[in-house]
Amino acid sequence: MGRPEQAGARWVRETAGRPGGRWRRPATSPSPDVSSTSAAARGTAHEIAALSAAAALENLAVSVHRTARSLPFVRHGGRALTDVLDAARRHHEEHARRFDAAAVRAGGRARRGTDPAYARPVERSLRAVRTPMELIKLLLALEDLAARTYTKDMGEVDDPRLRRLFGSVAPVEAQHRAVLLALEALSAAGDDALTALPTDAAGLPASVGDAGFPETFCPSTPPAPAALALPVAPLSAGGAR
Amino acid sequence: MTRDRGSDPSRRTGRTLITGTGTGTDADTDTRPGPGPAPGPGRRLLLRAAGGMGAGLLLGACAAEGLRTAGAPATGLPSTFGSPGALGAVGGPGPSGASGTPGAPGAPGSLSSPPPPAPQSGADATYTGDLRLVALSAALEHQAVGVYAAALTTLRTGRLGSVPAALESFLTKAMAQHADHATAWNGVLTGAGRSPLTGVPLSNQREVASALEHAGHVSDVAKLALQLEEQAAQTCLFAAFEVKDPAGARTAATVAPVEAMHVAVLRLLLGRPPVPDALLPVDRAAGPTLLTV
Repeated sequence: MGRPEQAGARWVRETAGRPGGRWRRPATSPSPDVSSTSAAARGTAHEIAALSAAAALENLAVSVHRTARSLPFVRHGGRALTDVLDAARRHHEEHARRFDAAAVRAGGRARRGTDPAYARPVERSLRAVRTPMELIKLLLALEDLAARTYTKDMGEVDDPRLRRLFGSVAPVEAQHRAVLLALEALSAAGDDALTALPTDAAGLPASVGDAGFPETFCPSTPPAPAALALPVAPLSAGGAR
Repeated sequence: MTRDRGSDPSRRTGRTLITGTGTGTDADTDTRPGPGPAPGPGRRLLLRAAGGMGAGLLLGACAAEGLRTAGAPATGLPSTFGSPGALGAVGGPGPSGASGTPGAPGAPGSLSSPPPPAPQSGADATYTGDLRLVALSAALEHQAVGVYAAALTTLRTGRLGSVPAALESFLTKAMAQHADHATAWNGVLTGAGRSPLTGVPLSNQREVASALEHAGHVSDVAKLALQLEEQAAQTCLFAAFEVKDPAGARTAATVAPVEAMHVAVLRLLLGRPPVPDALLPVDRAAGPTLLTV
């Protein structure tokens, strides 16, 4: 159990070090500013590599969300998808900043780019998507990759502040995925009225309620990059979109 | 921690991803701290509140009370929990994979079950240190299973009006997952040589049951579920931060995202921005002294 003086601890023990001692909530409860690693706390090479890889994933997600926002079927489509894209992009930007800051404080560098191993299949898929459903599938793959990766990372880093960082981000990526799964279920219902705003609550299919959390436990094995090469429909001649 | 609230277009404009009909009320608004949503005609819920039951602050208050309480309450589950028919018989189809799970519907720990046994004098039934957070997490899972089972029974009576199919499917599947989570948490306890946690030894159980019993509309049930899910997700996350036992930490790390997904779906159904935070906070996590054993 964490010691009371640990940054971000939500509760403190009134009798430190005594098992089963009473707990109390601190007078002020700071948010887990997991990036505020002191200069003295240098990370291991593995931790810095994990942070750099995470920042690269976030950079890729930001790029995809920006590009997706400009696709014609998104620009001229329903508000639900654009709202989801905009909110998720802001989150990914924040995640990238957090991972970069933690990497720098751990003795590494900010990651400005993406990992080509993941970026290449994603860019290919993004160029080929022609429908909201195809875009949602690509975004789902990205969010799933991020959630699984950070869940794995959380178990592999020793620094408690980095555990907090990975641990706090992974559920949010999972939430993005849950929303996309619900939207996918709505689209699959085939009733455009339901995806419009406002929708008819009573008419929502049952699948919207349970499609958003398919697994009982979040997997911690990231998929291979090939999983991001989605089987989308081939481009028509010219490929112009 | 960045809370993506004010900048969220759906929040800023009062629009929601899924909205219902009618006009917004105070009961529709998010009870989380921070700047509230801009009032507007578009701020509507999918599931409308028929009356404010104050469940929004219920769990937080109970958690805080648990934090302030020095010792475990002497009482177990309040007698009202054992009143047959008060919330409808707790039963129905048990969640998949939950057979024999303590806390599953109909098992000890469901709302209509008798109080859990008092802790034994031996160390085997005491939960200290890391294991207290593990046991707390197991108790929260049991609580969710019992509440969802009772909620489904209540909803199916029609007393609360027409029940959206999406809410019913949510409760059914989430209940099954909570039962499986409870099994996993208890596996951590037994792996550490402790007894599995049984029942719902939580000091807020009376208030939670009362909130469900006094629900006047299906949206009240959804809001109560959201409170339970937020507390479970954040408690799991806190456990993931703090628990050093590898099995416990792994369980916490893999359960927290799923509870967070439950939160997002419920918020979506309630017409709220489904993912309000860039990083999952722990400000609504349950305190260890909420556990009464």
